[in-house]
Amino acid sequence: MMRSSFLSGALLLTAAVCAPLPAFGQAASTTVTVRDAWIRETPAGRTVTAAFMVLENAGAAARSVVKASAEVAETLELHEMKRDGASMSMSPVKAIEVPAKGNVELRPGGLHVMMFGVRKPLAAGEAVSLVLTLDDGSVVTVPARVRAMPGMQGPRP
Amino acid sequence: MTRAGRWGATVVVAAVALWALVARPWAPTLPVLPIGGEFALTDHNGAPFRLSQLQGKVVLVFFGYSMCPDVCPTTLSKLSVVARRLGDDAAKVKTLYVTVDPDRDTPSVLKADLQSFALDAIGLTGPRPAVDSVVKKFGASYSLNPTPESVAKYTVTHTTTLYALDVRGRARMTFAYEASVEEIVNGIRRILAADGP
Repeated sequence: MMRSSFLSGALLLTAAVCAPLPAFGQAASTTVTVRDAWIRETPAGRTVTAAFMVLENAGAAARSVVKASAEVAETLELHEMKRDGASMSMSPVKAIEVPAKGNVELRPGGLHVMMFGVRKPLAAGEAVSLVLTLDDGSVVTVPARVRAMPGMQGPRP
Repeated sequence: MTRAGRWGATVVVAAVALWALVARPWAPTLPVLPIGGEFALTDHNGAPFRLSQLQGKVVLVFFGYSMCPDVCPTTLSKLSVVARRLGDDAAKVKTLYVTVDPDRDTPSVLKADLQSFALDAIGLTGPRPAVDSVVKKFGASYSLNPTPESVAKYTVTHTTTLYALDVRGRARMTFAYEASVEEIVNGIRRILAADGP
């Protein structure tokens, strides 16, 4: 009991210390906003998934996403699927550019954020927070929703 | 026309009608493709698997790997919708998901992958030479791409064709990755019809 309350106390403290960080990052206000962010549901036992979204840039200068992170997964990486004839390949990319006064869509079959080492199965409907770092050092916190694909029947134990 | 002549004409018409009914010349023929054939791998429960076990079913085969964020879940998702659309005929169809990343895709990884889809599918893995021989039989291909900058360490580029085999295990149709649910459903129905009950 003591132990568990100590633990939850420690967690609260951690949350309190960590929470303001993204807000600090956003102080360097950015012209990039994100909408329609979603993450593919992970089946029980699977620790890899991907996040998709639309990034919009209201500014006159192009911006790039250079890094992504989330509490629910160990490592997030920027990746791209490419089609070459009948083949599909996936490769990491250094940055995802959001053109000035334009947008870029992260979608299945194209650019996406890979999530490795997902700590627990993500079920459809869950809200997950992602953090994107841009090339100017600003940080965008992205609320994403976990979504099942057609034919998926949810994580089973 | 004489009585015999009328008789003869009737017989000819009946014969043509019967031939048409049986041979169905209007149905486009479904060629047997020179790919595929018997193979042996390990299923997602760790049991030995042979293609010939599935005699009597239309079999859909595709190659993929579980770390694939897109193609593989998208294909599984699409085939789940195909199965739903097939209704009762879905019981006559089995899907084979053959990994091209056998080092990472153990039976249990494939099992977890398949569990989340409402699809009658078998995940297949095995020693790399066994996997390679199946890939070759189908005229598919894959390559491993080192990605030291990624925790994935390497990714796999692979062909995304879906192969449809008839109830005797012979390849009859292929579908590109972009094929719609409709096209796949119609293809399966054609293969089922070509082979009769």
